Amino acid sequence: MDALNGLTTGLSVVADPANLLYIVLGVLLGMVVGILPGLGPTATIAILLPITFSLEPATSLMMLAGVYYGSMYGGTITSVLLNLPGEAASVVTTLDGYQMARKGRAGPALGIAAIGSFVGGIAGTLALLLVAAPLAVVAAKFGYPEFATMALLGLLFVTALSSGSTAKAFVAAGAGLLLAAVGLDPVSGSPRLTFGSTEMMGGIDFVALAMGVFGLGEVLYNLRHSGEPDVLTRKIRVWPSRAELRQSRGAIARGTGIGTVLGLVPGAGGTLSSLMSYALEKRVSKDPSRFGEGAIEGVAGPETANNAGATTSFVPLLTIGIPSNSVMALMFGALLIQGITPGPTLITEQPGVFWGVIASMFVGNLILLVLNLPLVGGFIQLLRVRIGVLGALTILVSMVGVYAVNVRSFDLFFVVVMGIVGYWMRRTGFPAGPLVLAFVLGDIIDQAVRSSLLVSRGDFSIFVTRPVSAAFLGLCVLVVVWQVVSRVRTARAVRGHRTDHTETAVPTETEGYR
Amino acid sequence: MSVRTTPATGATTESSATARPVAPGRGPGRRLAVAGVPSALGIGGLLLSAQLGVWDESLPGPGFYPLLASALITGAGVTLFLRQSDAELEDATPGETARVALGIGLLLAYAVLFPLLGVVTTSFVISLLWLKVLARESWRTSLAIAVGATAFIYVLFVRLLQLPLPLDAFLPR
Repeated sequence: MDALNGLTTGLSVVADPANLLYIVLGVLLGMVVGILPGLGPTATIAILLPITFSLEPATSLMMLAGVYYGSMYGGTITSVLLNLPGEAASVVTTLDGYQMARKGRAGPALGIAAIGSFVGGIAGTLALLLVAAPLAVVAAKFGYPEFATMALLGLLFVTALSSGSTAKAFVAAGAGLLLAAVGLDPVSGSPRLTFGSTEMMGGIDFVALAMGVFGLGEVLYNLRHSGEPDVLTRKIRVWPSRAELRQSRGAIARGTGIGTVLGLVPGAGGTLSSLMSYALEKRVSKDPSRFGEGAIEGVAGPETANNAGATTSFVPLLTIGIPSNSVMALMFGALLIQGITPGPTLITEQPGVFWGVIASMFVGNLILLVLNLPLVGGFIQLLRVRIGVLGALTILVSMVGVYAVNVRSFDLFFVVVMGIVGYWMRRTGFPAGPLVLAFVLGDIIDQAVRSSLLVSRGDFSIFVTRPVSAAFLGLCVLVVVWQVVSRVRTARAVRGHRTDHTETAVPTETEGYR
Repeated sequence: MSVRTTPATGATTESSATARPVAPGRGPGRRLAVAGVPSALGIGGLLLSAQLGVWDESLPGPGFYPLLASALITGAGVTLFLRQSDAELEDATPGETARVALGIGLLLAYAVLFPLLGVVTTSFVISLLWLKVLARESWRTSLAIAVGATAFIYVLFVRLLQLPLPLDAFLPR
């Protein structure tokens, strides 16, 4: 009973009052940023990275994880009440959730979303608990070729599943890979692309990159709009009726399944899970015309799926050390600044971190459910915070935080430049997620490919003669073929009926990036 | 009316981002902004990587990996040039663009002042300007929030986390 022992270890870490406090802080902050338009979970986690530097590794990861799944709960609230998704995974919730609110059923919509999120989160955590340890054992047998091909596969997935233009996603991914090359060459030790700067010799700082692209980029982008949303102040009865619960039961069960499985796919995470769940609910429904008019299953299913998916997307990070979306890339960074390199050895070398994070999700989801049902009305008041005021606080925390990581003024300028890059990417429709993820994966790919070729003396066949590595490469080819085929099909469909854009308009955004 | 959004920051500026309303996906300026920047970045990367040495003897050299990354950017960038539908840029009024430029200016001012004046003065001055000028709050609200935010930063980073930040002359060491 590895999982049971692990859970005991984890719960003893969580039971530490300081850790409990940070879990509560994390989930609360997650709720808050999920509600506030203009600051998503990815930006928040990026901004928090320097602060976690002074925490214990387990504490830091538990808090950041709390921000992530907490934001999944919070994002629902604005989707339902204002038709404004606070984060990408809640986009589909607006379809039926907002319609329910317009018909005076905002309370049950929020209630069922909280219950579904809880069920999804707990099921996802259970899956994580059971799958993680065995997978880490398998991953421990991987060598350089396997890591290289797996990281490549993850990158392809994320880029292919990214929203909008694939070419733009590839530009972003390429830029991330190129930025990862800056610094000393891992094999020969000679400087690469440093332009003679001593600060660049150590490579580009991940925290500065992430805070700039996500945090400051978002603040600058938000400067373009001003004004405040209308706030609903009425009291809301949150508990769904028994009939509504019965109606949602199937949707919650199916959403759990979809989310748990899709969360394991790199790049899918919560966002794709919620989209798939919505599509499935509409298909199995006896009366699909109700969807889009305020069907409670259309809220229950996706909300369950996105939380389950967000939770199981931790599996590749914790067991293999490959982050599968931009939020996981940030978690990867959080471990790196603690001096821990995530990988198959995490479970044996840092059992407190590994099991602690998993156990904290049980506790965190419970806290969220308890907070959500009675306090929704209070959280809504947060919408009164004006976006410019939020921006002022964000820039202070970002600038001070980024300086504190390496204690050098160079990073202050670097984070501003990255903020400009992040702003420019938003303006021109380049997704920021693939850039940051590729930056993390780039280091892995560079090292693993070069080391593989050192072993094989420059012979590329090492990637196809090893079965696991060959399988990963085969999957890469499949992803590319599938992309090309679906492109051609969409192009044909668009040529067929010029007005039908449904297939391309679906917001399959990379996890966390808005 | 060409509005330059950013001060001198090298390759990331979008000097061709004109604010003239044009139908999405049309106009050479837009296409240049969307496809030109990545293409230039990719080609620059290719040249620099080639200089580093892509392959020596039988093994990949330091330029091997950056070359692949640059090739990816170049390929995707050129694709963007060819596919007009991808060359979209949201319309921005000159006022909005000026606000973003001002925001960048304030961030740069923060970076310059921080080591000179210390964490408290810099945070207070920059957040006050941000609130008053960019967020268009009243003086009273701006002052109150700037004081509150600066106090929050001081308590969190200096007192609680005790990070080694440049302290203002008037603060206790």
